[in-house]
Amino acid sequence: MQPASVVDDETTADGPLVVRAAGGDGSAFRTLVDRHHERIVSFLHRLCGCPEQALDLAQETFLSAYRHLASFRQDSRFSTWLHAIAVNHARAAARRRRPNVSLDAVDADGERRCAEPAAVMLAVSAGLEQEDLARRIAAALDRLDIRYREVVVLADMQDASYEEIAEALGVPVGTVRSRLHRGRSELRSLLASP
Amino acid sequence: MTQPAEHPPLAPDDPRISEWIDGRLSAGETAEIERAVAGSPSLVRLVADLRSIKAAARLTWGVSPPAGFTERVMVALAAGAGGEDADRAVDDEWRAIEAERIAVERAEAAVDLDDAVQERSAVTAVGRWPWLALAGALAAGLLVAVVLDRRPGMGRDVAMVERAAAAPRQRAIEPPSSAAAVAENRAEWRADADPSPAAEAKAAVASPELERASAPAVAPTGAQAGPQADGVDLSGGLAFAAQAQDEDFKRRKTRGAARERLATPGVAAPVAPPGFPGEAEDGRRQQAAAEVITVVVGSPGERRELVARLRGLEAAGEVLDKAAGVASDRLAEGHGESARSDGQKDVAAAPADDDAIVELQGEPNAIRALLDELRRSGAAVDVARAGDEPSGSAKAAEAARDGAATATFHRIRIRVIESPAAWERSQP
Repeated sequence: MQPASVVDDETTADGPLVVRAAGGDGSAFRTLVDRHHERIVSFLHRLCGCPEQALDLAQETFLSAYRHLASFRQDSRFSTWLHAIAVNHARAAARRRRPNVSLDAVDADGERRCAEPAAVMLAVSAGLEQEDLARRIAAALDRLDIRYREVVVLADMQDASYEEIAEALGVPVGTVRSRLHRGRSELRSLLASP
Repeated sequence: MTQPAEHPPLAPDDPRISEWIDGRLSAGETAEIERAVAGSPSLVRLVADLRSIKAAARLTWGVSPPAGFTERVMVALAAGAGGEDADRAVDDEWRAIEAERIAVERAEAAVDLDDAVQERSAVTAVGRWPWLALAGALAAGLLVAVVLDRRPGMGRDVAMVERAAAAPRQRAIEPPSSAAAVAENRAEWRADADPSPAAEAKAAVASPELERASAPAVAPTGAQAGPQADGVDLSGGLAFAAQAQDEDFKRRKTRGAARERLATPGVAAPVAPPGFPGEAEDGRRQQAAAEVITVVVGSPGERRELVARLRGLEAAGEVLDKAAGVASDRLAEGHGESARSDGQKDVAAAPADDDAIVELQGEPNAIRALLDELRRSGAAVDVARAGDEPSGSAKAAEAARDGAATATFHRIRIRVIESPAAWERSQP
């Protein structure tokens, strides 16, 4: 999920690769993994807060994608489709980890969803104030309800459009609108709380 | 036709704020939001904070995959890791997650219902029923008087009342045509704004709607109903918005209790039926009466235009929340008819010479956004006059009827009446 022009180019380039990979061309699939794995790993890290688990889930995501390439109809971007698979794997993993506790209950309790603290790194050199805010956002994200976290991560960290988010999460754009604003507002509240 | 209501101030939870920050609004909407924000210091702070959060969030970047990640994937692929069985396992887990989500929502709805019942039981017993009984007696008396002395030109109004009275026997979803029901809902709405028993009792006693509930549409007094002449406080919706955060806190508290209940070892989550919440197991919509939340007055042309607009909103998926359990076919449109059992819209319904009811259900924010849109519409000038927010007790009652499945959503019925005079005659 990148700016439109980049994504359009990417989609054009992905199309033939997807067709070849669906036909069993391993090198084509390798190229697709090379092209998208950074964003998927980053996305999963932000979503689940655990770098090791993010890597595992990313691998599962690509394996699932490979097995279901034939069902990808290319009426959406390949990256959007990958994000949708990644979301499902992340949700399933969270449930496996705590089978008797709902995702939201874990979030509401403020517990870590990973043995290690979420280590979200800064992408660029930023001012101290912004850097501090970014770190606090990364920590607050961990306490945000999963429904809002998904939307906030996709919109504000993955640069996805509302329409792409709706497609990835399987919800109407109207729901994305409300969840995004709610998520941002809750992040604001979490940042304000000690 | 009354004049359009003045644009209400922007609620802090209005999703258009984020859309504005993201540059997704039209020029007109942008100007509107800019004006609203500029007029509110708290909104200025909110927008500044959200912009900072958005900018800082972009600076964060998740862990970089180690070198050789692609190779790791390809090796796993060659080794047949996972395979179809793994995918099936994930699919099964996903279905379980969905079932759990539905169960949690149902439990939350049940908790909301319990709370609402507990909070209101005392007031309801001593404060509301006597007034409703009085209103019913007055309504019966006035109905008899009007039938004995029916005035020329009132045929439509009487017909509407008669149709409404017969509706529960005829329709699966009861049409909210009774002024008493509207009045009760408004009183509850006011009481919700101030949940103290004293305030609720006061609302019940002081409510002019309850007092005149005996004359729903058949007792013209000649008084013209202006935007606030019917006793509905136009700022009611704003009061609701201002309390959104408190209500949200309360909702979260109850949801947390529901989740704890589900998370308790030995306590099995309720088994969710197939389909969305609110759908019966046979796939048909459950029989749920909807409240009249909003009454819109318009000429036949305006009425058709409004209904078309509402259809357009639904078609665009901007109002209903499918993922949260509201299917697109939950929009029932017709001349007082409920949703078709097959869930399809009857586009040919709503003849020009009859009233029309459009039923919508969605997340509170989505419904609020819709009502804001209607307020801005020249054809829907009386939306604000009729009130725009379902009350908590209305939601709770609705949840009870829906099998406690939809209390986290708002359901509204927008009644579009052909003639402004029909509405105005019904007002004292």
